[in-house]
Amino acid sequence: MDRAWLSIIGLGEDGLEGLTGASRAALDAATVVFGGPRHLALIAAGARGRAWPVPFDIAPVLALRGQPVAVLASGDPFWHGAGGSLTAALSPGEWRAYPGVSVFSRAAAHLGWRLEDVTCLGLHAAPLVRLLPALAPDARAIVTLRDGATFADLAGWLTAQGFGLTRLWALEALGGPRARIRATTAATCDLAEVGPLVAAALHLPATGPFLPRSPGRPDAIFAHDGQITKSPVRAVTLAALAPKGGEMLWDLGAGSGSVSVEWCLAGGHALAVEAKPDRLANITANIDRFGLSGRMQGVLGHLPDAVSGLVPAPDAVFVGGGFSAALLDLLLALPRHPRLVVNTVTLETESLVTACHARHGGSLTRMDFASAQALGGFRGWQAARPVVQWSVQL
Amino acid sequence: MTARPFQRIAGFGLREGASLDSLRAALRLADPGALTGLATIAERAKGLSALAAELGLPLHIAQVRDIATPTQSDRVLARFGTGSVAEAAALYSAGKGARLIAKRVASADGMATCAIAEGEGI
Repeated sequence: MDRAWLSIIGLGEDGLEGLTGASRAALDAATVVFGGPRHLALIAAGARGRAWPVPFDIAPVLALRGQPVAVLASGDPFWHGAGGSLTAALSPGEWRAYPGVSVFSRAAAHLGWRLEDVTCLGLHAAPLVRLLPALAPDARAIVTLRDGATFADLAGWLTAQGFGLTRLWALEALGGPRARIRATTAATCDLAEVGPLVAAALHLPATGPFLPRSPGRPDAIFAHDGQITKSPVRAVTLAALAPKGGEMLWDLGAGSGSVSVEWCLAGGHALAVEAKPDRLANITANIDRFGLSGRMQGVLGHLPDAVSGLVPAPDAVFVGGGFSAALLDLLLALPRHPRLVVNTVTLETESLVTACHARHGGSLTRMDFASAQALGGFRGWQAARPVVQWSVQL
Repeated sequence: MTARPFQRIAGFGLREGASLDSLRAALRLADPGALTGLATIAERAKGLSALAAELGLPLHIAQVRDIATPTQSDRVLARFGTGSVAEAAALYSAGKGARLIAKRVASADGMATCAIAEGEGI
């Protein structure tokens, strides 16, 4: 028995003409057609057409469950499109999908790039800074953009980051009669009248101020007030936290949020809890700086109270300041026990974690870092405060 | 991975110096139900902390720029990059799959606004 009532159809800039026979038949059979205003105009949907609500919500589609409904999406509906949002709310067999050719495929085909070597990002509804992790020597990327003006913003942003030599292509209305492709360079970009439906292709230079990809990134790239887990200690801390990707970190006594940032850059999500509002401003600045909005968030509160009622529950917890027996009790009471890493520089907290280590196990590590500094006309070791780290699976 | 958590967040916009009474009034008008947290932007966190403490709820700091909201104030858009700080903060902190349950309402003195969103968490 065919229960499929929803047709998810990929549409190109060539409108009805570019649809396959199967897509066309599915569209003809629908009594209601959802899509963006541009999609609805491309197929002259008329009275059958319904534009998406703002903010985007699939509820109007689900309300018609069982009736022949079509949803239009650009190119491949399951690549940054409405497809995934819809099917998350459906049972297998309720939909049929008719994917079209994605803008990434069209752009790569034009440029002659191997798509498997290209980072593809949807920046039509995300800040440009999301590109940051993709910036690498000689790397290539194809990104969708919000509108024509954003193309100049992208060129300006790349230049401000020190990548003015990036080669850029503006790819407008690909696959349709108004398609236009122009090449430029980020620092000298002066393309006039870039249309609203635009993707950008980037080819980064071989040299430039690229960020390292492993934890222990330089302190100077973070917004901070001096209270920051220093680079080498941060590298050891991230190794102990052992992010697996997609996991939730509670960063307690977060300071600048640098540990959360590096956790999220490793593919996780984080709540950074901090008691001082001006430090939360640094945390907020770092979320923006590293493009982590939607994955990382600051929480204002004093420990240990701030963690009671906090959700989502953590897979790992880092305590960079403010560890106490009361906090440990709250963490032990969580329904699912997290990995815990506590860093301390005070003798009082050190004696507490020493006792905790005896009782709960795990590993206790002391980090004594020293760096060579000028000493008169010679050099000598300048020791940093020893950091004692307790790491345990609770 | 764990089962998806549930978040029900009251997002707030507030003018500097908004009283606890104004914040309570805005929240009451929004008919919040059982909340899991409050949210606002970093610049206003201090002003909302007393209400969070009173309710025993976490105070989330939201990034509101570029978040689409049903309510559109040109003044707010120019300053914060979103149409309503209350709605955007609620949507941000509700996290994945966030949807608005109650649109922005304002306290009678206009000092505080509140909106409610649900989602699966950051």
